[in-house]
Amino acid sequence: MENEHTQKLSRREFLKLIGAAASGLLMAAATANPSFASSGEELPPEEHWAMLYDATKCSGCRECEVACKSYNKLSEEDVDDLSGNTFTLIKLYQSEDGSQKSFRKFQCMHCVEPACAASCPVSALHKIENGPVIYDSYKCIGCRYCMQACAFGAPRYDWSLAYPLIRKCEMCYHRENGPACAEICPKQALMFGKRGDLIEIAKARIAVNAGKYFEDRVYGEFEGGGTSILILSAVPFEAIGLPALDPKPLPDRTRWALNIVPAIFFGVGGAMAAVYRSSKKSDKEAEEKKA
Amino acid sequence: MTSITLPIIKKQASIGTLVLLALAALGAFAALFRWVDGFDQVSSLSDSRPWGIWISFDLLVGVPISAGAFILAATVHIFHIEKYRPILRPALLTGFLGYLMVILALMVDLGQPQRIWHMLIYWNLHSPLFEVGMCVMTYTAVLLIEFSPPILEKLGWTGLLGFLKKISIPVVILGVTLSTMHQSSLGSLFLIVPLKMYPLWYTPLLPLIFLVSAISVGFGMVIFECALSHRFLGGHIRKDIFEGLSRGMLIALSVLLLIKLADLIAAGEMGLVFDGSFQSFMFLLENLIGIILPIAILLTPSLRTNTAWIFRAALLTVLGLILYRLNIGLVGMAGEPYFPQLLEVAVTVGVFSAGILAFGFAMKNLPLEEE
Ligand code: SF4
Ligand code: SF4
Ligand code: SF4
Repeated sequence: MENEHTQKLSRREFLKLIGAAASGLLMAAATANPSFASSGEELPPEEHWAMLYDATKCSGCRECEVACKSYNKLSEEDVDDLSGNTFTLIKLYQSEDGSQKSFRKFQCMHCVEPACAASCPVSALHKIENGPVIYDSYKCIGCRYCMQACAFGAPRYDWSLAYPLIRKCEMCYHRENGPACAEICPKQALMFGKRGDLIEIAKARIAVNAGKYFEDRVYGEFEGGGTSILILSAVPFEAIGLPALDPKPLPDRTRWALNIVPAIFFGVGGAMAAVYRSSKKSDKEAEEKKA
Repeated sequence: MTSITLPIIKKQASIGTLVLLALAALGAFAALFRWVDGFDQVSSLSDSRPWGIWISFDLLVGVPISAGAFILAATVHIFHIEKYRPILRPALLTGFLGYLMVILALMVDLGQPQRIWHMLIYWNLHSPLFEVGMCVMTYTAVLLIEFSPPILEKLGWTGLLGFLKKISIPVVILGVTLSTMHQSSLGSLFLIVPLKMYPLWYTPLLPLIFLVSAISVGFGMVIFECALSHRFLGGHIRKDIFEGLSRGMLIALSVLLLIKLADLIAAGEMGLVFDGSFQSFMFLLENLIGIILPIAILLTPSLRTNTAWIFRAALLTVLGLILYRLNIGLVGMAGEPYFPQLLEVAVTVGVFSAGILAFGFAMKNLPLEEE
């Protein structure tokens, strides 16, 4: 809450100073832009749409991939990674001696504090109030900062095109029964629900099966400030390609630098004005002396 | 004698111009190819390497090497150090052209270049890239205003000229402020990738390091330009100007060295510097060439008053900055191996060639000497 408050303050300050410095045009554009209006009721993260993927239940049938392709009208292709045409993918991980193996479902993790949305200079990517991180393609300028910022490699591009758009899972946010992939899963390895409920379900499974799950915890509860895709795994998270993010949300690492921008603006501007005055004065004095 | 040497100089110049024209044309062809046929026809960009040399070189190097403009504008107009006035206009010109080149390269790099103006209407105050974009756009306009007097003089538009003179001080102050902001937030761009960037380069101080390295290379570029324009366009180098600039560069480089050292020690990463990895090699190279050698030259009494050595120190500083920014954008970033395609490099080379041509044209046709 406190964070939100300081952000809003700095927004307003920033607006003010840009308006003063640059032009009324920018000011008008900003107020006409709906993304500046407060976004209405934001649900707390435990109420967000979420999915729980239990890798120990996944049989690798890839029904979810097929359902995703068909719902999102994506063409078939033979790839071993997410792509502009593949929003989700099941990969098999095996330890070298073959004694341990695990599947992992790749897709956008729908972070509680998404790095992609914080980075996008035109707010094309943003989290809607019930959780999914979605993409307004008509805004996108194609800078690909989101691809750079995302720790999960979710945003993808079709590089064969001259004017590509970002492609990624949007949690089927406009689909009536929720995500197509979760609905089709025959093993209930993939469950759709509210983030808070799913964390409890995951914890119940951990409690019942002591020692079965890696470190007795669910990935995504805290990582990078939390994600809406929660993952249970028997093998170490890093072994199935999950990055070891600390609980500090990625956007926090940029936030301080942006929060001091107004201070830089006024500080540097003010200092320059002061120097100008004093050096002008001493110039005059020097001239008077000469005269 | 003169009747013999003059044609030779002219011939050389025209060969140089022809080469630059050819390179610019090749760049234009490559750009056209990308706009018509797609990215993978000309570039090695991929999902794991979404930013290649167009960002790591054209943007991350293009912006700091144009920093001479704001440094000199502040020196002359705000600090009233008049001795630098003769080189102010050329520096403003390079700055302005530099930013135009950055924007040109972005038009090739962006996936939806026709929407570049979207930043004006769809804001995101949490995005460092938004800040960079806004500052670069506004600052390019500021540079145009700062640089327009010679053009207006030539056109004889005295009315507008008078008006611009009246608002010149606030405009210069705005320019310095905007430069401080975007030179540093270019570094903030990478604060959000703590896991992807090699620890030798990732630090919360990235914005500060970007700003100070931009200032050092701003001085370096002005020295470089002075020397080159002296060599190719005649005129005389004023030694006091040269030495003054080199002192500015020395101070900036020393501050940079201190920040980088303190940061490494505080993060306990000294071991990584000498662990023999490719990254450690590139890191050492960047700092040796770009910081330590030029500092050593400028501290050596017999060299620091020698214009040829000052020029070399400036050249090293610029090279070091190029290495630093390429290390940040490519070497230090996790991802599949990336090696740019020939046509991808052609775009970068073409944009710079066009910039040099435009600079030469302006030097010849605009009254850049100020009394
Ligand atoms: S996983 Fe990546 S793309 Fe998905 S919400 Fe998080 S940061 Fe954005
Ligand atoms: S590529 Fe598009 S969606 Fe991604 S950060 Fe840039 S503008 Fe935003
Ligand atoms: S939520 Fe929808 S878009 Fe995302 S992986 Fe599942 S089916 Fe595909």
